[in-house]
Amino acid sequence: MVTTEIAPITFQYSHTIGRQENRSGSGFFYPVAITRDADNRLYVLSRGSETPAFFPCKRVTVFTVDEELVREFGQKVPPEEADDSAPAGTFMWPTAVAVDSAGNAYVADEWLNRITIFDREGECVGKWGTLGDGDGEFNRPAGLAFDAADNLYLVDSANHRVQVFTKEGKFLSQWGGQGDGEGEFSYPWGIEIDRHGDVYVADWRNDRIQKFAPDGRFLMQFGASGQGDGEFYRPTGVAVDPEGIIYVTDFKNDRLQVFDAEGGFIAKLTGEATLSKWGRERVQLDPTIVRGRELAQGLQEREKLFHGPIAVEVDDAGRVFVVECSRQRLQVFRKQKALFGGGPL
Amino acid sequence: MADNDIALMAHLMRRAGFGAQYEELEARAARGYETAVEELLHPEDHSNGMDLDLAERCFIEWNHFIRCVPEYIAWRMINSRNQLEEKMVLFWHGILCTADSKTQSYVTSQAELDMLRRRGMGNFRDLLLEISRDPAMVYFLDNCLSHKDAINENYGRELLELFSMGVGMDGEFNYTEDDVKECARAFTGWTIANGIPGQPYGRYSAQFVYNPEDHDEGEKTFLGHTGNFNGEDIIDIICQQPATARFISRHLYSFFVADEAQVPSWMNTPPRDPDTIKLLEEEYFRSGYDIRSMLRVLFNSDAFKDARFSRIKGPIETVIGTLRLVGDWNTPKPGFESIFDEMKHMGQEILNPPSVEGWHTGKEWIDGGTLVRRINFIADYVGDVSYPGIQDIVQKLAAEGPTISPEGLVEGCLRLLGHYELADETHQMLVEHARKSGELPTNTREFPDQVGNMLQMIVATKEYLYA
Amino acid sequence: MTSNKKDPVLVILQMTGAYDALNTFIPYSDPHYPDYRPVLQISPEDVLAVDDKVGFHPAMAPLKELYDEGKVAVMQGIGYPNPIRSHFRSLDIWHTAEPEKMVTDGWLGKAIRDLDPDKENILTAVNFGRGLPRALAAPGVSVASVGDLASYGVLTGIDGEEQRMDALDIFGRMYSPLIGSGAVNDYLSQTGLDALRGADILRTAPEIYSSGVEYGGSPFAQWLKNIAQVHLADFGTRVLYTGVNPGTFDTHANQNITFPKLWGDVTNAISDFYQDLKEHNANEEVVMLLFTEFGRRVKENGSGTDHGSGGVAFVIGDAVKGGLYGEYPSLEPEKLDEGDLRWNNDFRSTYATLLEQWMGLDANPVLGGTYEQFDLIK
Repeated sequence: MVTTEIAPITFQYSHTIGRQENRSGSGFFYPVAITRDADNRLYVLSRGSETPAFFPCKRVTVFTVDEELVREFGQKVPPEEADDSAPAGTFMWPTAVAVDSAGNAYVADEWLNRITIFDREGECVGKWGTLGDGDGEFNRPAGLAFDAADNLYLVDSANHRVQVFTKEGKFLSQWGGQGDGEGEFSYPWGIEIDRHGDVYVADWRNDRIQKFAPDGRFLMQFGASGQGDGEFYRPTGVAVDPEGIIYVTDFKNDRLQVFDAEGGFIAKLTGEATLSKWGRERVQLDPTIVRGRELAQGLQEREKLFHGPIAVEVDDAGRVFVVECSRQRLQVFRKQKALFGGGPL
Repeated sequence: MADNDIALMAHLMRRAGFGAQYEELEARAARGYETAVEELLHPEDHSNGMDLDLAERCFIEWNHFIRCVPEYIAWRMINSRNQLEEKMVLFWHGILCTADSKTQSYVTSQAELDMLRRRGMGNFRDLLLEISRDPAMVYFLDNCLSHKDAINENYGRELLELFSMGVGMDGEFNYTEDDVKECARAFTGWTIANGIPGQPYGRYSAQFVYNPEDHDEGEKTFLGHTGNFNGEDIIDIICQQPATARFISRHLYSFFVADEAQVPSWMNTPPRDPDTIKLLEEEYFRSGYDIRSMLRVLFNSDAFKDARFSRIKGPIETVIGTLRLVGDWNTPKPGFESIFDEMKHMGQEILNPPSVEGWHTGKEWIDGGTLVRRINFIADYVGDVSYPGIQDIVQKLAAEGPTISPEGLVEGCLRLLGHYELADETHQMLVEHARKSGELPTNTREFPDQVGNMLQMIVATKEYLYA
Repeated sequence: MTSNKKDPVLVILQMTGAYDALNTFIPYSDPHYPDYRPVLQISPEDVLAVDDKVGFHPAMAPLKELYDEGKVAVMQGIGYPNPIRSHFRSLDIWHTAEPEKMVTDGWLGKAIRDLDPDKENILTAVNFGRGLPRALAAPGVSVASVGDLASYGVLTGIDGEEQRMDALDIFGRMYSPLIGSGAVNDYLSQTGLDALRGADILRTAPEIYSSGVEYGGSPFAQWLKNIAQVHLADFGTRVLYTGVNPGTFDTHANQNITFPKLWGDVTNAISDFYQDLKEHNANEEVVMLLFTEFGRRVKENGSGTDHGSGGVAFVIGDAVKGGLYGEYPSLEPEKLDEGDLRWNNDFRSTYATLLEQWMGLDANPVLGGTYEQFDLIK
């Protein structure tokens, strides 16, 4: 009898979304965060650039999985005006975006130390936040996630802790502190809440992922500094799918790593990007780019690779969206299981 | 700690770095001059102390260097403890230069500057070999357009004229036009891959390719040697030349010791200090072309130690030095791009030398526009007593006693700026200026601004244009 | 030139960022035009037509008025060999008048040296902007570079008028050539004193100026006002330079929104400047050259235009024979140069014309060659 071993989970590349767009429109500029709403529309936050000519460039782009632009909102504030008086709806160093159950988008800004709220149409409807290290104050917010009850979990990066707020901004609880012990952090970044309400934090400078109960009780950790399987070099983003599989953007190793629910290493992905729809539209406008791509040596091998994978999101259909900061795009993968799914031979 | 030890350390750090605050000078001087020189010469043994991962997290565009490379380079110049390592990048970038205005690929320029940092204090032969294979250079000087049946002499010529030997020495030409052609022939086939367009996903670094099909395999005669030379052979021959030893020594002297005449005149203008040049030339051959060894000889020479305030600071040195002095930009914040406007308006842009000759230095940095810009830039910074480095100066002066005399104020400010020396007349004018306010109590609310005002006057002097 | 007239003055207006030639001076009746520009096209009825083929963008009405008065020469198809689409390098080429290799001296720097060989006037040339453009740079040539005329000078950061005057007094004495010795020291002293003296003279310009013209609030409009002030102050300034900030015309996106506003601001400021000169009877003394570093792609990108080549420039003034010069490049797809307008009019011809016919200089040594000139100065 011949047996073939099939990995329990594999990942099939689906497609690429986005292109470099340093002002506004169908693309991104240094995207740093991703989330999605109840209608499975994707929200990508472009951190953008300070270069004055690139305006608005700091923005949230809303689009479908099929790369249809829905809307964009937010714009940048010049550095010299980037203080408490910065107008509502503007960003300096935006880091994270999360959507509540009513479809409002919350954007964190780690320079303004501000949470800005946009409604379903992208209108700015509020903002809150105070710099500090007391309860409810924060210093460089870096990750945002809502739980099922619409409480907002905020990674308070320079205070090395997680804080929980109501969606109106009322402080509820906090845990953490600087260090490398269990439940301590060093400049944490991304955050995810699974369907049980457990919380995963990318403990960035400790090169590990920590998992907590909803009340902040430490549950487990995995990862260490390095380039081997299961090791990290500044992990930024974390996502957990409905089956508990954990996805981590291993930022400075330019790869995505996948772990089982216990933190056991399953797979690493280094990128399979191809030309996106928006990318193709851009290329076709310019004969020199078309010719340049025909001439280019090693185009496929180089272009496919992750450059700065910084955030990851999964949907209920088993799709994995990896945001690449330095290449201004998303790569979409599909999780495939070895389980026989029925149907003809 | 003796004042003259700190004054010497201030001199070393202005030249082998971008200046330092007084406490850093004291700390380095306490370890002894020769030890301090060795620390600077061996960055591989010391942490640069920069927390670059945190900076890159804020300046997100530094990741993969598709943008914002000047910012990254400037950040290192401001914040690295291994100051000479960064200073060498500026040194070589002004000689083995490429300009972003032509190459238009920051990611490729970044690779070049990384290489200059890696090789900057190593063996000169290795450096020439790497720059000849550097994609930014291959593109900048058109070696990618040089083919075995259609030579483009651009790189072959500049390698000799600007990167290694110079046109001539002691009134004699160093090479002939035929040598240029033969040199260019030897570098045929040293080219780059066709690059990936910058749209839709941003630039990729260019890649060096050796194409044997396009290499001229014929016999070449170069500087009296004959053979089927390839680029490496040419570089070997170049490195053996006394002219190369002279050329590199003069560049080191002009950059670290005192302003030399502009490079194009070197054939007919003898070095301003032939003895020191000879010392460096000998070390070049003795060490087997080792730049680090030459620097060691240089920094430990009396000629260097005695050559204070004999070089006009360049704009990058001026801007970076001022930021280090006042303690700005040692943590990330928005608005870093604006310092590049300052450098540009003073006449020097990182990654954009005006031509393949690099920047003209010395008095050519100064014209009416750049002088005003320079003085106002420094004066605005040192007059702002909210900067930690200026606060330190104020506190140190206040710690000297309940009051300070006009002479004490002038001398204290000069000392804490790094033992600056003024012409007697200038010094006297500043003392007279200070006398108008008389003996100053140091515990008043006005005292910091009074110090700031004196600092502003000092940085506006002719003497402060020098390092 | 009659003796009671003042020396001719050249004003350079640099529109940094590369304005879109095709939508600036529009070939509105060309059947290809709407095909290339589905979103960005200007409909024929909106174009400010100068004939049945071409016309100005509707936001440029003030310039069109001057054109109708015969004061604007349109330099069509202007460019240089082997077009380069880098802002920096292309500006360098315009500044140095040397497309083949990288050089350091600016064309106007060399012209200034010829205008004032003995350096008798420290204000022969004045730049208004954030830094000195290379066009004005040449060894031994001193050009005042002014960010804001009202506050121009050394040590502007010193608080308090009295303290600042005190500081400037010391500055003047510290830069005395008597302190220190040697050629470099003398040069530094002279440069410092020139800067001080230049600032002293320039500061008087706004004081003696009065005008009924109200300029707009943009930096460019204010700099043009400064230029009027300096010119009308009779300092003997012959070359004045200003422009818009880097990237201003770099309309990769949202061109329909930004472009009309930019041209509106710029052409209104030019018109205000001309009216200001006229009010002071100085309109015959000045010729302006308005240029940009390159053109943009013929085919739009859906919301803006990307870097291209083949541009259009304008020479403006009473002394100018208005009309069309050069040829409008063909829009036939096969006649484009890699998707760009193909230049047919070397920019150095315009330079040579201005240097010789207007400024009365020998153009050859300045430009390093002889270029065909236009008959465009009266």
